[in-house]
Amino acid sequence: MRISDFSGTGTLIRLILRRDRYLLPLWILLPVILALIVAVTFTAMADKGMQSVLAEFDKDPLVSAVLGPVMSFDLSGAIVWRGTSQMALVLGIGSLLTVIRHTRRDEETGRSELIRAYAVGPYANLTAALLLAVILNLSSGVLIALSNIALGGAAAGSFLLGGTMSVVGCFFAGIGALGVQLRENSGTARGFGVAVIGLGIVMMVLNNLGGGYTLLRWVTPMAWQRVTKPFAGNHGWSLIHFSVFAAIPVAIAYVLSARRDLGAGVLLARPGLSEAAPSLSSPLALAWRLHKRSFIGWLAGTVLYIVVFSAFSPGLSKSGGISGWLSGLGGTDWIDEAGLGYVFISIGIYLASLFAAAYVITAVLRLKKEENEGRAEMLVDKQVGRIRWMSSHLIIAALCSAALLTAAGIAGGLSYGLAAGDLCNGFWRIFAMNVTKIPPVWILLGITALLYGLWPRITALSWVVWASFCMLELVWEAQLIDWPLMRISPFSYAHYTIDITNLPLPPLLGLICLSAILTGIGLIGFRNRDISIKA
Amino acid sequence: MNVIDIQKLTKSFGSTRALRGINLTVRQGEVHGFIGPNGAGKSTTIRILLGILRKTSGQITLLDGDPWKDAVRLHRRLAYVPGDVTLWPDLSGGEIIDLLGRLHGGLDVSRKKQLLERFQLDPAKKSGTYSKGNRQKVALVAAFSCEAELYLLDEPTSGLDPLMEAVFQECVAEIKKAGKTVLLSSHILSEVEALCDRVSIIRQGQIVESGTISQLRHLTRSTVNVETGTAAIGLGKLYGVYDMSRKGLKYSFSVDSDAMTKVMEMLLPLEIKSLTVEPPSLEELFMRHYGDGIGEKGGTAK
Repeated sequence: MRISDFSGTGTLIRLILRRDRYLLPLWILLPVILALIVAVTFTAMADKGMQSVLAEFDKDPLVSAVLGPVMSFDLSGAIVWRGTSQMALVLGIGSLLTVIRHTRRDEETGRSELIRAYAVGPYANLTAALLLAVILNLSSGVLIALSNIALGGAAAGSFLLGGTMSVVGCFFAGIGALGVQLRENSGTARGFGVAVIGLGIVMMVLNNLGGGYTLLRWVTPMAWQRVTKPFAGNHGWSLIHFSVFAAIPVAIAYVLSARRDLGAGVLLARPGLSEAAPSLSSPLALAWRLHKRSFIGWLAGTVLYIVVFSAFSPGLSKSGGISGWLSGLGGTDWIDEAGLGYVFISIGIYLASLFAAAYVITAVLRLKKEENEGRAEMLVDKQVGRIRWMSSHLIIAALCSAALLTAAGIAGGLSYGLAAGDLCNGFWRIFAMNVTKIPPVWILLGITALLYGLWPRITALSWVVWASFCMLELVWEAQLIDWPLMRISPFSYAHYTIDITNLPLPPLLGLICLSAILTGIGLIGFRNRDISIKA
Repeated sequence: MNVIDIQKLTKSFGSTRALRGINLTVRQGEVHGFIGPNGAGKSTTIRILLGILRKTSGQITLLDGDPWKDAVRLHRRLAYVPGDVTLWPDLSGGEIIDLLGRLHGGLDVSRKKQLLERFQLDPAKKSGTYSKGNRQKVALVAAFSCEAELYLLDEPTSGLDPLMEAVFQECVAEIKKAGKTVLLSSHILSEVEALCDRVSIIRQGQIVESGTISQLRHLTRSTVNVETGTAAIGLGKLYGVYDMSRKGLKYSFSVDSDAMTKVMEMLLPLEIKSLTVEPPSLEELFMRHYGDGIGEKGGTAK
């Protein structure tokens, strides 16, 4: 490594800042907003005192199984306890995507080749992207710290919390940098990164199930606050351990990037088929071919997630106890009778359905990518109508999302049934819990399709809708809104607080009809608008 | 002095051997044409010269350095235009040109303005709205605005209209006049013929021919149309004569350059009434080297 290997890094950082001038503030502010939301919800709940509210949660076996023990019984402690996993998730995804966008994505499109022909060192691009991710995480960390101080938190603990979040984000930036070295496409890098994040979440929950202080917390970024302990001892020195830990994937990325050609991966490109399979003869078959790889990735992730949690949850029931928090929430009577583990897996499946909804949005937005990159044009000029082209991707999105939940139902049902020792009963209940989440997931499909068909420039709004539904759940759990308001979310019609054996089906049918109507409007909108290409 | 000196260069991608021993020299101040069929290895060679692909074996000297090790230092002295330009759709063309100029270490602002005008490029448009030709212009304006000793142009005019093609040729002529060196890979043979001092033909990862265009012509056949007073018996059977066709006493055939003297010796006593000799067109020249199925000397020998 020489200085000249990094030549041009400064200019490239300015380029990234210019390109991401709207995106970066979003990634920086989102974790801060999450922390503030947690603060607001807890302040609203704490009319009888923050300490007692947190103590109550801490004693609740279900809540502490999911979130782990509370470390400090004040507002700052509440933010650490309830908010760190979400902040880590957002910073992780933000750092990952930022690094991939400015490294592999540029190589994939050929822009790096243009850049590298100028006086730009071989490490400049990677370094610029990583430095930017560090800036992103540090800014976010400082803002998290400042907002905590503003809320009355101690300065040392606040900066330790911010610092912990920054290091977690930087770790995932490193994962992104490592992922982009593997293959010649950015999809592989994203898949690799998301898999690591998913693994982190699973390990975090396993750590919480084990009491919060298992050895797992050392290698699980989403649980690093249980080592650094902001507001609860402030073990600031461990930030140095984690910084070194976060530097490992970065170091590997630098070594690998020096060993490969620009545009190639360390793993060699695999040759494709020399002739199309006979089945590849319709827009639908093409759509499946295009969606197949990402679907398999999502499927593997979902099944793994559900199997792990289904296998662990029956054990929870044996520990006994009931969740006062949950009984107070739903006002339904069955929860008191059902085992704790059964409720735990219901919540787990509910979360899985939110992820399936995220999948369906990405699947529908593939349409936009195909359109903007000019490939839709190549099909629509053949004997393929616009509606047929658009619906091919929508059908795949609908079937694949349904398949995700069905597979989760089968795998989770078997896993839970076997672990609980009551295969027949357990299987069907878990299966039904999963499958009844299909209609609400399809609502997101309908909304995204409608936006794409009518107003393709603002398809990002579908993510806002998705996030709002997630937020609604959080606010409702905090008892800030009542059930009737919660009913805005389609997911409430297959909510985990409703006994699965008594779930009313007509609303679900209604959801299916609604998503069909939304989709239909989207299709008509697409038929009547311009196709736009942005190469 | 050689600006580019490549000896026995090979490059493999896994089991695919893209380059199988390239020998190529480009002299200072010349415009060197680099031609060959699709997939022959032109872009791979240029990318190795840029130090963005690593050679498998062989020696390369670019300017006075090693393209892989000294990439950054050398890139201050060269400019590159790829054949397929992708830009950041959310940045304007003008922004991208300035950015590339800064990465080069500065560009000539007045020259940039002049080039924008000549290429009729609106720099204020977001590059996402540019057509293929306009994206190509962004890379051309950026490269020609930069002060460089060597210009590596990889099919730089793909997507340009004929007017812009003419502007491009003017620009290359100006560069050449200023004593700069150009390596131009192209499929547009008229462009190569108009601009290049020397040409190298690459096929299946090897240089099959290298020299001035007239030298290359010398290696192939001319077309002869002749009318004689008496019948030219046995003309078609002469060594080096091909594709003979006859209409009365009018003969038409092609002939290897080195067989021309023999042919003329045979024709002279037969009372030549009219005679035209056409040198091979560049197309024919290239077809001969590009084509796989055409035999050693091409055509069907009689």
